[in-house]
Amino acid sequence: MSILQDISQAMQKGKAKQVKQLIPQALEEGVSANQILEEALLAGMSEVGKRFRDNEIFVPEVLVAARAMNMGTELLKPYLQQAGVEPKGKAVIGTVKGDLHDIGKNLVRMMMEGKGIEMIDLGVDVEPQTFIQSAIDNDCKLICCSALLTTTMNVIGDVVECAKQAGIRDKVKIMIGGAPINQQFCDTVGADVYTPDAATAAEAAASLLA
Amino acid sequence: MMYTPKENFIHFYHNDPVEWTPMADDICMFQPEEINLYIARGFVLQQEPFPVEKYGGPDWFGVEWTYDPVSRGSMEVSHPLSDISEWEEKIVFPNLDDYDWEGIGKKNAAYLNTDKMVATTIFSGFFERLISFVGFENAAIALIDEEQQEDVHKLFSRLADLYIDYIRRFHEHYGAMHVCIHDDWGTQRGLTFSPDVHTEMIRPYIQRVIDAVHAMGMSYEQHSCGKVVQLIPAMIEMGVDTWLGQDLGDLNNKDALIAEYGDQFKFGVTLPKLSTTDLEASKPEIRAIVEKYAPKRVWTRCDRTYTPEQKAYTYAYTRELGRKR
Repeated sequence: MSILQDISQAMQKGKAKQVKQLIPQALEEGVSANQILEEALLAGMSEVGKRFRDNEIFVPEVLVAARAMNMGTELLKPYLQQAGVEPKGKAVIGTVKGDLHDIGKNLVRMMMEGKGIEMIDLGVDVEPQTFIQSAIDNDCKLICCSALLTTTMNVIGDVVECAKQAGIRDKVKIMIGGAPINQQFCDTVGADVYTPDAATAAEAAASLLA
Repeated sequence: MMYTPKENFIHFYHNDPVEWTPMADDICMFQPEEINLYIARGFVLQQEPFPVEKYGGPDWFGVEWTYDPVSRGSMEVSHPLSDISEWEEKIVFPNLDDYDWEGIGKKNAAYLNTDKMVATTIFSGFFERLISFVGFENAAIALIDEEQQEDVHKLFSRLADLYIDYIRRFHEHYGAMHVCIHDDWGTQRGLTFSPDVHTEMIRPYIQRVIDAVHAMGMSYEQHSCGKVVQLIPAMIEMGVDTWLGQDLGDLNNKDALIAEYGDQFKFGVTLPKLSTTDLEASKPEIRAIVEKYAPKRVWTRCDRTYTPEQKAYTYAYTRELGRKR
């Protein structure tokens, strides 16, 4: 098994310490940082996403894998910057105003990071205008809104309206998700993409930013 | 023969003939304000009404909660631990001897003087209590991390002891015959953790509580939100007496579950929404719904969209139909 496979396997199993040991070893062997990122970490996280989507693994396994991946990407960051490797796009993500739920939102963030997307996490209880301003300030092409409650889901419509008023609606895609959200709601409020789970959200985001 | 609602419910849980399909209205849920867990979680149920604006604050472990009146639930504000290995050093368990159990009973004497089945709820059972201490992500990881599992086992064992003692006091002081423990194990799309993790990390402690509850002659209800159908066989094996769960479209198709497991397990059913709020117009619909569930061994509750008049009619017709049968 190549060292890239070793790193990928360790990451998928959430073995952060192994990932931390193997990455410097791979760099010493002459494997490029970008290759480690693409072929070990992102490929591994993609596999984690598939297995999660197919109910082969569960939330804890995704979390430990994501933490191991983050450990790896932190190690690689200076090498990637030196090599001029850019992220595959930037996205802002948050749970909408009035809603304090963050479990689903955090899973989506981790899955999208696993696709090589730089995520700006605004947290919970986020004002519509904050989504828009952050997207403008950080030159993000994607805004991801989460809502768990039927009482807060309509704030997503306000985010869409804010994007229109700010004149950036044609420059950003707005993705939405959460327990009460469905495709019909997505169409009604004029958002771009609804996905039912974190793994599908990450795949959709990667396609949108490709 | 005329059963009281309490007798009817006890017959239901003991697999004896019932006079009518038991309903949530047959239960006197007792969650007094003296146990600050209920204030923190926004579910005080007692003789005197409790002001909603006072909900939230510290629970019986000192974990701070904020109450959202719109969703009618609470969320943790912060978590006291960064690592579950610290729990023995930093977490102070409630001392049940500190509560004035007799005084609470006297204060609620009229409320508890009922022919309904007295019951209580323990919020934040095992996994949820772990979450309240370290946050969701750390809690989920602790369940599968070999370096943390032993600490989780110790915590859950201590929690089981606390819960059994608490339930025993409600049984002895207030005649409680039923307890519901909240522990969300599911998400919108499936289990939060694998069935193996449930078996290894959670089930032994739930089992201990269930065995103690049954030894007291009480019934045990498992509350879990999310899609947890994969755990129904485990619930049956553990001796869980009932589970209500969420009936949201494809999320736990209750009719299908009743068809599959109804001979082994007593489901709670939230009766479907009605097409109108007009009582007279809805009566045939209500009768059809009640008649649909009457032959099944389930207990029911009205959807929250039912008007008070529709609820009263549903209850009256449920009893009328039962007695006719």
